[in-house]
Amino acid sequence: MSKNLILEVKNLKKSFGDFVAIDDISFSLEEGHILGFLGPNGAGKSTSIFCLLGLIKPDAGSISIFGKDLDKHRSEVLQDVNYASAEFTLPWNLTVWESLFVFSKLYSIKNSKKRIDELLDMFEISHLKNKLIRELSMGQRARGSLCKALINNPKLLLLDEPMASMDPDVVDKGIKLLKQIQKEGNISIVYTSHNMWEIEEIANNIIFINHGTVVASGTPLELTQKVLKQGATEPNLREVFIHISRSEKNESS
Amino acid sequence: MNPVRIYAIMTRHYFLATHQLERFFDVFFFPVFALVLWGFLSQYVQGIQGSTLASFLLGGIILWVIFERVGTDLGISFMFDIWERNLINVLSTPITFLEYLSGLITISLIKVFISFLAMWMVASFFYGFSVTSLGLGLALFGMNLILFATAFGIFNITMVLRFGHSVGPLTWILPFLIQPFSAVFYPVSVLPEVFQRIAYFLPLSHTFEGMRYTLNTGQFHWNEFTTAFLFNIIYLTLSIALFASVLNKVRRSGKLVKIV
Repeated sequence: MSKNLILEVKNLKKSFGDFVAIDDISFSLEEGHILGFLGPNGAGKSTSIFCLLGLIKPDAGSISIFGKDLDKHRSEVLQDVNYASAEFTLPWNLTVWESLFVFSKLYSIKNSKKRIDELLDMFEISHLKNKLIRELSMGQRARGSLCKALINNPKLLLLDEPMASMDPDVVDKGIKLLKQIQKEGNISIVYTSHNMWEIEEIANNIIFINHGTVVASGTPLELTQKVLKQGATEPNLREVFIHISRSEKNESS
Repeated sequence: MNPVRIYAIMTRHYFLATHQLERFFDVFFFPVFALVLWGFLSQYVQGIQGSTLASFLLGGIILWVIFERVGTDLGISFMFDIWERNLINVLSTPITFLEYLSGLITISLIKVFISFLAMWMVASFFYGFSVTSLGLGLALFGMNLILFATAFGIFNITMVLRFGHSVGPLTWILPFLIQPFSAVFYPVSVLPEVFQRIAYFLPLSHTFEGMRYTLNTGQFHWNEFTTAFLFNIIYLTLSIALFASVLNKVRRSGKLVKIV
């Protein structure tokens, strides 16, 4: 393993019956880098993330996190990993503070009260700490989930459309805050989103997957140059996304 | 096994109980209500049959609640994580399934202990029946009931994992399906022969037969206890093996992330 390689995925394959969800994908992530995971619905992004969490068992291939085989050292590895998705909220019938306290204990955090207060301040939701999760707006819940995702000071963060339900203003603040936290903590992030602006803003590198295979990879600018126009000087991931998705559809039809 | 992570699961369900009135009812209201109902019946039969039958009924309902509460509480607690779309968040932490189950079992035991204390007080105060008259037997009967309830609860969780939360209602239906064979309020001998054969394989029937023997004679029936204990070990081993196998299967099939 290279000195600062946090995540290494090799020849990952996963099928559900006849449906091939992931077809031999390989990628890696260096320490302190952010990998944007792009692809249309059903491309295999979430399946890949669930494989990285050990919640779905791959048919073939290997996943190494912090140089350790995930299958053999899952619990140890996940101590320094965290995950957030707009799809899975914190427990509805617990308050924000209670939810974060439970998760702090799941990660065996020692000074959990201090850490919870720091995160609530950081995401400007201290005033909501005694509110039940079900009483919050979608955007507030998403911010609560991001607090949970940072509770253990993770070295690797897996974010599956974490800001899907936030308004543009909150997304803008969220992205800036996330970049700042990532920089300060030297966190490595795998980030999926359908919002191309988010990915352009946050990702160092991007892999574009469709039908479970990697169809393009590179920095946002490289991807734009490869897929759209060689002389492009500005990244345009929205056009890249549409171009790849439509050309794949045309090929398959 | 990391005790802090087990504590986290217990805390999660403690917090839930403080916000959910029905979870509070599960611990106090339903056990006490069941006891009050059977208490009146026992008072009525006491006038006709004497105190032995009345104590069989009261002892039966108190011990039955121990089994029924622990058995269903495990499944319901698991389903709360599904209903609240929180299971994936929990399982993406370092917690192992063994720690997760241990947390659920421990909080269920605490709840049933509170239920037991409430029933004990109501039975003593209103009906003059002290379940502690079972002596050491009470602890041994309780242990067998809790072991079977744990195996039963793990089985319920396994079914939900395998078939999704549409089979969740089995959690509170199944105890009542096995109750007629469990000889809670009557001896196994009154059952038709084919039902007696089914009853033999249930640790519950041996426990309740043992309870009646103790209340009747003041002696402990070691044979009934040992038979129930051996069946419990078998069922607990089978339920854990089935759970491990199904967990592996749903991780392969991707169903684990779909049940939430």
